[in-house]
Amino acid sequence: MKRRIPILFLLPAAAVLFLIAAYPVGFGLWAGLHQWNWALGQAESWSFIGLDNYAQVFANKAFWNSIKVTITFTAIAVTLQLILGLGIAILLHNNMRASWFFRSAVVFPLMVSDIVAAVIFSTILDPNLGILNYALSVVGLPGPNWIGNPNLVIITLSLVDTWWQTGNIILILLAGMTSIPQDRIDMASIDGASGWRMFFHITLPALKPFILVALVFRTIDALRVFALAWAITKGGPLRATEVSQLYIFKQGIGGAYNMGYASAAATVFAIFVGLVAGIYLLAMRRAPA
Amino acid sequence: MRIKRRTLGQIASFTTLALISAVFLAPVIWIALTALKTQREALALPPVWSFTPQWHNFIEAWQSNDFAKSFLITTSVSIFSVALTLALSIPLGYVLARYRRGWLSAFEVAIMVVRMLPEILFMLPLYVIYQKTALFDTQIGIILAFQIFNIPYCAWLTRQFISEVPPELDEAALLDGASLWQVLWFVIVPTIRPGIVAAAVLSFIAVWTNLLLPLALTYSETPMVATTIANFKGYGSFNWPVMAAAAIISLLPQFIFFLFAQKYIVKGLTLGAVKG
Repeated sequence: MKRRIPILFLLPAAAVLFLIAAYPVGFGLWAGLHQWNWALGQAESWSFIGLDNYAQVFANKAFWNSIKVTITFTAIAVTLQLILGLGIAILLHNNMRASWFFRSAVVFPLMVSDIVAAVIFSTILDPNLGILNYALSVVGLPGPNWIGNPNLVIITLSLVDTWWQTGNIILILLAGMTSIPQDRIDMASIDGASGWRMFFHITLPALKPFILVALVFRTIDALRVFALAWAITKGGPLRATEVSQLYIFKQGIGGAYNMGYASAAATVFAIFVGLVAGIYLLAMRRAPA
Repeated sequence: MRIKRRTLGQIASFTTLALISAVFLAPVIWIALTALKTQREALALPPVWSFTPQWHNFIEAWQSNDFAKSFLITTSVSIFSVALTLALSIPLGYVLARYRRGWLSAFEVAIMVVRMLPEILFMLPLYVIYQKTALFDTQIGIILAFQIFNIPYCAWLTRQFISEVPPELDEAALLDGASLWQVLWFVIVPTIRPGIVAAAVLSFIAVWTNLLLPLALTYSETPMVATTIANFKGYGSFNWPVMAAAAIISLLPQFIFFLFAQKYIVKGLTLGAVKG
């Protein structure tokens, strides 16, 4: 039976989303085709230059650097979170009785906003006054300059992100584990499977779709990292943590006000994120659920 | 022998979990301790473990940098924003769950894509539009901006929950002469209450914690907590204990939700994995 769609259920949300999301994106696309640099006094007037902004984006080393930094951050952070999350989820699943407290402890950082995470870790990681390097020196280890060393700082941010977001993966994998039918586990243990063999032949294959979902969620989120880099390092030192959203923010409303160029860069980056999301979604469809 | 090995294993995994939990909690505990110290104690290395708690740091944090104002504004913005999100996305979720059309699926995919896109794509043009329409630095402006990400999320979440309600329930109420609005309000909403609570709590937290939206669209008239915390950090001679106290105060809403609504938070965060 095909009933008429109650258009009043749909219209208000669609109208708001059109005004606040679709129309601005359209305006941004249009702005990206114009020379429109407020710092040069062009706030009130722009001139159409076709795809010139896009050519500039693709030719700009700082833009490519931001893409590289973003991918590095995402790869390190998501890999760490997946390995750690899987390990912790298995431990929690095998210790059901004690797990309420432990689960709350590892999930709690999810409740912390990224700016507060930045505040916390700026104090802890401070090379001279921070507690972490002091603790390392007590056990005789040299404390690296977590925030000032351009080769290390992206790893530092990935570690902070791991502290902050691993709980997300743990929750998804725990939900996955409780959905593995108990009789499959019983059957396998009757057959003499235990420990690692059980893990590789029963748990991991059954968890595969959940791992994929966690991977998608976290990757898309990590690619959009902004506050950690903005608040802990301001993108430095030497652009070592200038992730894409931060680079575009700085080029646009965060200081340079080169609005046409920033709009083009935002479009390119959004397409990049969209492509990554699309590839993942295709991979998920192919994976047997 | 077997039993013994098993208990040993349990002790080992229990200890590991305890250590991991300590590592995850330590940063927050450390910042809470910092909030109770004097500036001299906070900077001291080796760290000072016995000190007189400086509760006035919290009062100082509350009174500086517009923090009190931003706390009240963020509270108001998050309440109105969540109310608007729910009012708009529950009916939308109902349509998405109950009707099959090609264009409707396309619309559903489109709003999910919106949710995945980087915020800056929306913030650059919205900044310009808001400057021109006087929505810049207003509560209405920032409330509307949060709808970009919260409507798709809540519509999708409620859609999943409504799909589990048997359509016969709707049919029965409609046969009894109820209007579709009445069905939604008296049949659907009470049935999917856990889903609505999850949607509300998670959108509330999203408003409370997002940095880029208020950074782009607000200034001194409508300061939000995330940006005032950033200001505490930004000032040259910043005061660690007061900054830490402000950070702790800003965590209160999430902390309360975490204590009393953890079940719903977990549900909201994991539904995507279970439903695919």
